[in-house]
Amino acid sequence: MPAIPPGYGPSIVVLAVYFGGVMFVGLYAWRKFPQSDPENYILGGRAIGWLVAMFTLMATQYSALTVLGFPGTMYRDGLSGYVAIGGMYIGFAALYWMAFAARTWKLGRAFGHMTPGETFSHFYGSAWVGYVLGGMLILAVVPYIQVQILGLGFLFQVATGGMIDEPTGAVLVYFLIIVYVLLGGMRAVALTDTLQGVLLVAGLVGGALVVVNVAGGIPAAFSRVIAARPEWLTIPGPGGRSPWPFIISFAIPVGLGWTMHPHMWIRMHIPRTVNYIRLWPLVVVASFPIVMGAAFLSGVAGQVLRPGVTDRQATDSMMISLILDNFQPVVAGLVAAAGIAAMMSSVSSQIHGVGASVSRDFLHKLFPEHDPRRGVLYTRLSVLVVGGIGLYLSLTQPGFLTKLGAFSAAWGAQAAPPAIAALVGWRWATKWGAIAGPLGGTAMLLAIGLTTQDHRLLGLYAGLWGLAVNLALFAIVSAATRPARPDDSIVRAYRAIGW
Amino acid sequence: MNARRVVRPGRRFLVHLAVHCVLVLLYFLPGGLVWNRVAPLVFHLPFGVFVTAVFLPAAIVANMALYVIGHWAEDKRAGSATK
Repeated sequence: MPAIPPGYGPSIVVLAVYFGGVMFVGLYAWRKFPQSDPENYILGGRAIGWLVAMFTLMATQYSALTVLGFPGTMYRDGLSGYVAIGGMYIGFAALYWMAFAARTWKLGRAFGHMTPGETFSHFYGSAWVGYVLGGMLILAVVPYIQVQILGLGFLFQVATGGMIDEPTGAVLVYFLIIVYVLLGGMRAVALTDTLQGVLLVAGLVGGALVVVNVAGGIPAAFSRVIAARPEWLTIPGPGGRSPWPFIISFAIPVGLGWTMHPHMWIRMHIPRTVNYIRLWPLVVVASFPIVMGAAFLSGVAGQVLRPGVTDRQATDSMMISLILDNFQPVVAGLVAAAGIAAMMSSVSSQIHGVGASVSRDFLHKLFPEHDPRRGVLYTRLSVLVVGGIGLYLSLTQPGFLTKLGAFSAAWGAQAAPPAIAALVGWRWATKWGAIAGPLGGTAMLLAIGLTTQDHRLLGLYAGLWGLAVNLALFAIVSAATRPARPDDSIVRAYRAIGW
Repeated sequence: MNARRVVRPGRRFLVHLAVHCVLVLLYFLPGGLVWNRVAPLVFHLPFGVFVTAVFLPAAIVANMALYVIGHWAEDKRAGSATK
């Protein structure tokens, strides 16, 4: 066994206690709650209490990006980076959940939906809509899982002072995640998310406060940035990189896409009452200023302490490297442990959500099972396969998939037009429109995203172009295929579901 | 559930939704034209930072909280919280 690097003992102990705690909570969920049917395994029996439901949402949405990506974005782009990310979370994602989360919850109760693909298939009256859109959402999330695992390995290496290298760390943490997700399903994921949510907020906020303190405190740090780089504190930001049209064109598709991913959609079905799901957008908007404010402060501290860094990887890990430079290793270890918690909570939810989608949207339809225990087996096998694919991709690191990961949310947004049409109960939307729109939108998104350096065309983000093509195709194809409209009784049932 | 009766969004829901949209617009254009500057400092924060990181998020949280509280009472009266 390798020797513990000097000064890293406490952080390794913290990591060990944290992993032990996560494993204990996961095993507790497995033994305590029934996993005998898909509804229990995938949705926690639709009976999750408000506190756990809120923490699982919060911990799931704050991920590798929150710890490693967003502080770097804010370091590079300043206030314009913060406003773009703010618009996406507290603007458009919150707007979507405010409008449709309760309705999705009610439809799930009324018709037994668990995954987005099931809602699509049911409303449009076609299994193929579920296959295409469910498959698209699965493909949108898998590269993102890969990116997270890479982040896990990096933080594990930081927290252990290099005692355990990146690939080994990633495999170890990933194995732990797979065990508790496989055994305990949604209950295990949600309960561990609660533990991880507390740790991630404490670590991120604590980390930002210590680095901004090194930079002289909040007032002094801002004064120095105002004197040195005032353009960093206004829009369009340094070098005019983020003008208003780009910021808005980024916030709309990314904010909407976040909400479409299977693991986020599934969470709309888990609370015990509709009151709890109405809390959801409130949790998003209330936690944002705390978590992203911390990321912004670490960007400010970075501008004061280490200005002029342009390398993307160096800026992404700015907060961690500032802590390593200025404090005892234990502080960096604790913040890295919080980062690991943020990533574990997202990865576990994503693997569970994507596994559930594979099981419900494909296996359940292709090989209908009557024994609920077989349904759980399908889902567990899907979780294992999705987990294995994610790990394989992260270890082999194909560059093309890493590139696709950058479009995960904007790709998810391509499911938004047919989703909103279904949730509202629009009778003019047809199954062919619901297939053609998202496919066309995805083609546009990837065509611009993969062929341009900054993922823009005429100054607008690729995701918005995809959404525009998607909407146009959805409307035109729906109008041209009127006989394929959803069944009248289904439309009436959806319209009667209430808000 | 009456499968034939269309249930339209209530007034409370629409009002809070509209307020959210206005606040998001203030976050972007045309609000950005007003707050997109460094001076004056408010609580030691540049004006634009104060508006986007403190003031508007607080207003959005307040609107969302009022929406949630209002709906809780409504759901309780209608007995529709768990179905």
